[in-house]
Amino acid sequence: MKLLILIPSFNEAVTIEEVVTVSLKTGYDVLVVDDGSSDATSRLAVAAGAKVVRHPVNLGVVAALQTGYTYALEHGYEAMIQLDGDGQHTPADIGKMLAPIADNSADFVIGSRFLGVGAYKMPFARRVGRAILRGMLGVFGICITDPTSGLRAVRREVAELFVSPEFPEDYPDADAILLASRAGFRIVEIGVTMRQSRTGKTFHSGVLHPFKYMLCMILSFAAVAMRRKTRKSP
Amino acid sequence: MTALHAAIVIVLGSLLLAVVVHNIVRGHLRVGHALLWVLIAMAFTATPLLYECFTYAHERWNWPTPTSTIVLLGFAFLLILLLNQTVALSRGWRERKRLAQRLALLEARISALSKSEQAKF
Repeated sequence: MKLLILIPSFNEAVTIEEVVTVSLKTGYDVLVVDDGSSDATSRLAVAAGAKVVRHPVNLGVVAALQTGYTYALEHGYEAMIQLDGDGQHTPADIGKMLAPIADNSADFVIGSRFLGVGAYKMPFARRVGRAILRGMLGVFGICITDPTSGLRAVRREVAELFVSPEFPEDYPDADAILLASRAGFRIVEIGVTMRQSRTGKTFHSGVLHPFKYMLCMILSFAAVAMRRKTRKSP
Repeated sequence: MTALHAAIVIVLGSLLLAVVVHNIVRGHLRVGHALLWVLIAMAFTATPLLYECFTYAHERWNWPTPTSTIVLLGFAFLLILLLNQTVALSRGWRERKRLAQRLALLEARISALSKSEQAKF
């Protein structure tokens, strides 16, 4: 299977070289989408052997993912797996993540921190947020233990949906899962090991940001739920 | 509203209209975006007339006072204007995102092509 490992990154100079080096050992192509970093992320990723697409300005994680998916679609990749650039994810899990896609039992695979593999510690506020997102997905009969996981593998057809204008524009978490589910794609979760971010940076830090995230997510989730269902291409 | 008040309002409205037209002529303001400002300037210029209408409505049907009505209408208009601008901002952001993504992908393609050309020679 022609697979692309997609690493969206923004100012990840500390970790990107190691993440690319370890990812390349799996034998698959690695694409780093540098989302307008002001540090040496692009240069280090190229030096480590990755293909690099660099945004001229910072556009956010969704745009970085969509650029990566567009690249993969234009270059004929059959599946893509996205990893965080901060070294949280273990490329050793790639084989496990890819298996359901390879044997055609799933279209969209989510790497879960909460399926008994490893011991990932999540702060209380984020556990509450995760419970709310799980509940929202549960209303639609979707049982996902880790809706905010950044480790995801998708088949080409799912990537086509994800580059469409219907894809959530702010945070592609529970809303993206709902979008894929409503389009008829098969979603499965696989237990994976995740480390704490080596850079110590967390996307949901601060006081106001978690509230903004939850409000945006609820609004985006409602928008996806209210839109007409997108049918997957045959 | 005294004649002096009416004159001041008409002069200010006309000045705003002149500034808007000047900006269109100089090419600083797109005609599509300027329409709203032309309407604002015209409404401003017509305020003395509107004031008389609102006074009549106030006396005849017990509407809110002319001043309250104008402030209320102005506030509602500002809210609509704000929503319109936010929609335009979202559309502009989406277009900027698409252009930046296209540029990034084209740059990557050019870079790959030049590398393969260099490898040939």
